[in-house]
Amino acid sequence: MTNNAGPVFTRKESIDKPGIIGARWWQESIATEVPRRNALKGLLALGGVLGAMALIGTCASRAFSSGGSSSGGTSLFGGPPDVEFAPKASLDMQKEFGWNFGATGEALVFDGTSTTPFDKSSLDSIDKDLAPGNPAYAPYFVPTLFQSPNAMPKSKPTGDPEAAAFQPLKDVLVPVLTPAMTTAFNQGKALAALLAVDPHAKDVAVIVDMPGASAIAFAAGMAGVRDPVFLIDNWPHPRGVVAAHLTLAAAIYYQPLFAKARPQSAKARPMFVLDRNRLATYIDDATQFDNRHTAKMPTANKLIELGVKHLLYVGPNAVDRFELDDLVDDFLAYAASRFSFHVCPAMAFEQEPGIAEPFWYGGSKTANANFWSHWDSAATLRTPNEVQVYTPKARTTPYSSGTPTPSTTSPTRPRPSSFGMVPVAVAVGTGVILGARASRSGSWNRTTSPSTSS
Amino acid sequence: MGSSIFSLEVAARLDRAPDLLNQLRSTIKDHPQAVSLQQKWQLYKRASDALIANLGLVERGCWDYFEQDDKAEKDFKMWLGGMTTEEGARRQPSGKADAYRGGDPRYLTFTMTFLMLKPSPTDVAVARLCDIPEPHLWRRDVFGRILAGLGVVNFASVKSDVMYLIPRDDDWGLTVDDMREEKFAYLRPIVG
Repeated sequence: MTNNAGPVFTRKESIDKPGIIGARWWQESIATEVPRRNALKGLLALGGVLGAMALIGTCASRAFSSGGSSSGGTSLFGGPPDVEFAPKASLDMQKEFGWNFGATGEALVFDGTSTTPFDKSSLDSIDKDLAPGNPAYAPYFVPTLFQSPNAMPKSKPTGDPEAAAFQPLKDVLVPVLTPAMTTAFNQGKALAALLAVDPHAKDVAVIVDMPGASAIAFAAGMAGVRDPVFLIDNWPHPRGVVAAHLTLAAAIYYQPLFAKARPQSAKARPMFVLDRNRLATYIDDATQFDNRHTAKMPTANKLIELGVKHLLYVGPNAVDRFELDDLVDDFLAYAASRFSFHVCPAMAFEQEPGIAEPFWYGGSKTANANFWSHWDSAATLRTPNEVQVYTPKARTTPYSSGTPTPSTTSPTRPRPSSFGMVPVAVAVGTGVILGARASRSGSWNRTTSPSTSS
Repeated sequence: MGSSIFSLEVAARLDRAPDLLNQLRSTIKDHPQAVSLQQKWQLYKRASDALIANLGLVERGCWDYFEQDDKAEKDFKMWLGGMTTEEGARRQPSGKADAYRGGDPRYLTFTMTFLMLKPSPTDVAVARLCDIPEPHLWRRDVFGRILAGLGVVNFASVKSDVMYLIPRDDDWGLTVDDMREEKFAYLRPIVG
């Protein structure tokens, strides 16, 4: 709290137009004490032109200094090089040295809570309970995430003897339920109710591409009406760029539901479930572990074999309703094979204001009845928060070539060079992996300490 | 004496919270030409409270704290430029959104930036407030924590501040297509 002295801030600039309103104030009494005042004022006067350009990405990073690594290929003690650093596939390192490679002893942080009784032994069957009910879909199921709870390391990094003892992931996992998950579950139920009864839906496969825990919850809401085929190809990590542990915790919460629905799901068309955070921005390999991954969708021919003719892509909201970059080439390949596409944001399903339940397309029972007429209408007649016809567009991105090439048959699909990689310390001469470069207990880090500026 | 900077910007569903625009607009309009420290604290409290009350409608956002002098001053200029160039604002009205029924969503953005004196107790308090583990930076509850914690700011230690709102009028809200433009790419999806 501050004092009650008279006015000290003076408005120096302001804007007041229909599209924007704002102002800048200046405290002269402090400003006179600031040596760089004049320079700053000069900069402020020029701020307009440069500011707009530089605004982009401001929040893309905080002021983290690079920490953790020491001397690269040089010796810790000034002698000849004995350790060098090399990138390795993150998932391979986790499978070899444990899910928390380089961060043993660091805790996972869970959102939400669940008061549901939880038997840890159920984790022994999670990869089976969440597998597709229809055996025809099994080849496309990516069980990676669900295999992580029980996985044990094959070896221990030799250069990191002081690392905390390994603890299996299943010992630290808990089920979670968050308000966002509850919403997503109800949105999934609302879509399922529409797909369950209309002939339009007969050959429709759904692609759910929402943030991890919400994607799981949405799929749970649809279980029984569509057969979930999870495509989540990473493991949790205490410093994970992708909060896969939250996705897994959500899956644990809904595991009994998925297991119960499997017989019914087995009769349904597939629903491919993706974690929309899979391409999350990666900032600093000293503070984060790159457990990102890309989608592995079936080829167009395989979808045809499965009886799929139409695809409905569900993103989280109207802004993020189109496919992520790693799906561009797959979608172009589907379009080339004459699949029809629709997009529909999960937020198209809402509760009627003032009424507790259920969720409806368009937020009311009346609007809900319009779903299929919207489905059949021209995209130009629809708003972004409605279901609409979609034509995939070619985009060249760090994850796509802009050509119709399937992800599962195209090993050369573009990827950023360090995508899904972790820097590791390797013994020069022998090539033995000593540990993660970012491990705080690794001997290569003892001469420096990580620092952050905030 | 050096400088540090704190900035926060959020994008919220204007069509779902018709009062939020009025509340935020009034905090700017009620700022007189000359403001006391106490008045300024109260106006920011009003803005923060309004955002916290509507936190569930905030879909994107970002926040920063930097303690390096050069970075602070450069970033302050940059955030100010976001206002003076009107970069984020629409050039034409977008029309009022249908509040409840399947209309095209509308968004507002609200931005606040403090250029702070360093060292100062306020700088220390804000640094502590912003000491958030990297994986949690963009969580909704973190935005709530920061907004709720801005009461630690003593404006005696603030050299300059900027506050702006896009749009001013409710029929100039940002559309989905506006929000998808590259110029808003710095706004992160809020998690949770």
